[in-house]
Amino acid sequence: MSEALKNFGVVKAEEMVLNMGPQHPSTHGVLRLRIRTDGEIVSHIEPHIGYLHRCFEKHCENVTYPQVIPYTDRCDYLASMNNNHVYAMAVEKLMDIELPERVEYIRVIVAELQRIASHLMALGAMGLDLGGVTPITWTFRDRERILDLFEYTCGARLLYNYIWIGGLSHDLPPKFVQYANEFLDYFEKQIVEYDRILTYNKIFVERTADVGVLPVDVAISYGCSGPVLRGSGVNWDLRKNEPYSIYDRFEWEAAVGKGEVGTLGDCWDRYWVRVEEMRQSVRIVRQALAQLPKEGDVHAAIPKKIRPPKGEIYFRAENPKGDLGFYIISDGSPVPYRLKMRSSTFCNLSVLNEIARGWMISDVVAILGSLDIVLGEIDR
Amino acid sequence: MSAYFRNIGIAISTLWDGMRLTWKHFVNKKELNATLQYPHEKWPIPERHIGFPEASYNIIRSRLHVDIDNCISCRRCERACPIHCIKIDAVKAPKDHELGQTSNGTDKKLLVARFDIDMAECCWCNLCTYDCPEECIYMVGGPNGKKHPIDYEFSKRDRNDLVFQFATASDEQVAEISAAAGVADPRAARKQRRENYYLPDGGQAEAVDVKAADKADKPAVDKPKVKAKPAEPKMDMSALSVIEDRVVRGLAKKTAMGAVRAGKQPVEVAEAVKAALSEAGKLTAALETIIGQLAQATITQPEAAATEKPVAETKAAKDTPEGEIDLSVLDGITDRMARGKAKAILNRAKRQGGPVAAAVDEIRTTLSGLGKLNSEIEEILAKLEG
Ligand code: SF4
Ligand code: SF4
Repeated sequence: MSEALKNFGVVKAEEMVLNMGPQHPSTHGVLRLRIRTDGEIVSHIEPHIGYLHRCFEKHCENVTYPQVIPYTDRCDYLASMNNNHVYAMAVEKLMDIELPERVEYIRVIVAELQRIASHLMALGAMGLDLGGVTPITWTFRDRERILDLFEYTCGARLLYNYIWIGGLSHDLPPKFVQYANEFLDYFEKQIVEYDRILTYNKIFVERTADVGVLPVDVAISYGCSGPVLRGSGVNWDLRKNEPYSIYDRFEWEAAVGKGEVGTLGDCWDRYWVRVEEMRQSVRIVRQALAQLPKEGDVHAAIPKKIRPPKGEIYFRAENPKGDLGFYIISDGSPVPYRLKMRSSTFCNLSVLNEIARGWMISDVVAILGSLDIVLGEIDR
Repeated sequence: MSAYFRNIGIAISTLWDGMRLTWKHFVNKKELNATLQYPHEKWPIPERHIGFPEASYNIIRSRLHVDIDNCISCRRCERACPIHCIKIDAVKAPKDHELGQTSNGTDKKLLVARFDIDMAECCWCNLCTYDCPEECIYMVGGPNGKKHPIDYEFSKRDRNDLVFQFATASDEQVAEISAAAGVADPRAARKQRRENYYLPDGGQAEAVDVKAADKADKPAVDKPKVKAKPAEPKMDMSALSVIEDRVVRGLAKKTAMGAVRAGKQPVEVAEAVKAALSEAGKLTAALETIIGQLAQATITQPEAAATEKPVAETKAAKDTPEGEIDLSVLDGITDRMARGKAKAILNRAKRQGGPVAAAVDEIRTTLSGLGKLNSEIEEILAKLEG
């Protein structure tokens, strides 16, 4: 049979390339997605990044160790405290610094509050992407309360430079424990409201359940971490599996997706892991506030001269968005010889093509929202 | 079938629930509202003392302020800043000039001629404030500050207003002290340099590079020193760079440099280095071989005369052919392409200062290659040669 006869009657639509972003409200910053579509079905997605590249790693080779901290703030700008924390811990490990108890507790408190703030942003933005405008105003309102606490503590609302190598820039203000407890009481009620307005809302469930299923093997081979990995049912949380700081002293459970309303590893599971993690963070903060030692100088362990010995270190910890790692090579001078940052959202984004293929363009928005990316950290 | 109706049931109940919540927020605006009527309402700024003796030091990071009377221009803040947005110029006052004391009782030895902070560049990291030994640079604008009222939005109408200048010393004072100290007046030099970048009629010269002007400021004070340095004999010291221990390397290089400057021969230099290291108790067999290599290095004597090349002459030589060749002769060629080619070749010859005859020959071959050579062009080319 001739070629023409074989294809007789088969309608072939031409593929179209669609550019989504870099200025698109649902690409969470300056991300450009190059989507190849067949009709409305996505056949290939290529994320183009680099619009927010600020040479973070190169900058770090030119500033001293304490001066790197303001730069780490600006990587994942929704979770600056956690970035500060991981970086400070990496340098402390390199220099073998023993921290006072009080410093460790304060660090855990602010890091967990920041985790809640980051997840609130993820929740609200995902709802907004899917057409629910109300939730984001509520999550923002509650996030502002956390930022108020931080402002009260260190004077800045977003980019703190609060956790220093060997200590903190300031001690907690006098009424912090009371205010924080008041906030947690208020916030626990709010989580129930989020559940009612968004999590179990039928429209939201229809848009996210069974959509963009991420199988475990794909997640692991792409190096996914954080809520994206746990949403697929893998119980992997560095705070539990490789306890750092003082996380082993608290009672809490890692949130793992269960496939409650759809398939395990779908968008809804990744979303739900974040909601559950907020509850667990509230638990941790409550315990930390209760156990917080009264005495202790937060400046006591800060070295006079920060000159780590020759050597290298890789340190990773659980950021709200996944494993954040710092690889530092020191040549014994006050300036890092090389600093590499392992960004969790970079790996999480790379899986997009795997899971969004075959879905519609409007589902890409849901999937991207459930990955919770921050371009500041991807591009650095 | 039952699943179908159950679905509808869930949809209605969850929507109803959501609507009820929204309504609750709608009627309970006081407690649950999420927006602020901004210009009329503002978030409160937290009040908190940090424990600095300075009463107006605030936790809130709103704007940097410098109590310039207390500043000893130690430049610690300048060094602490990760983006270098603090710029300080200071003049060391001679012995007989008293500059007074800070409120902590430290003698001020330097006059602050310039203390600029570019708040448009600042990243509000607060690092500069912690390092100041006099606690005179700090953030203001919070409720604790009596001196500095709450500056909520901290906005300016012009971007240039965000460069805050804190130095209070008058021009005369700066000039007087720098004259007494025998250094160039940094402020006057800066002003002069800025003026040189602008034309007198208010227009701008090409490529106004204010940043470069700022950078050029710094060495202004110690430039004469650099120039006055006499030419020195130099020696190839790369052999020493392989030494791993920093202290030893430094000592070896220093000794070698001193010996070379004293006019010693390579072998003597190596001996001197060896002696210095063994005195310090750092001499090892490996080091001795390295120093042995040093003895083979050569010393280059400075050639004072060679540096004074007649720059003006070479330039003048270059300029001459430009006056001779007249490009407009070629305008007589009617064919556009031929004219362009001819002009390009001639222009190049002119720039390189080559002979005209060669250029004309080249034009001829090029044009005949293109099949454009005709009697009209020949005539013009002949005119050029003649
Ligand atoms: S650290 Fe303080 S005293 Fe030193 S130059 Fe800066 S403001 Fe002046
Ligand atoms: S706050 Fe930070 S960026 Fe701003 S002037 Fe001080 S050190 Fe520099």
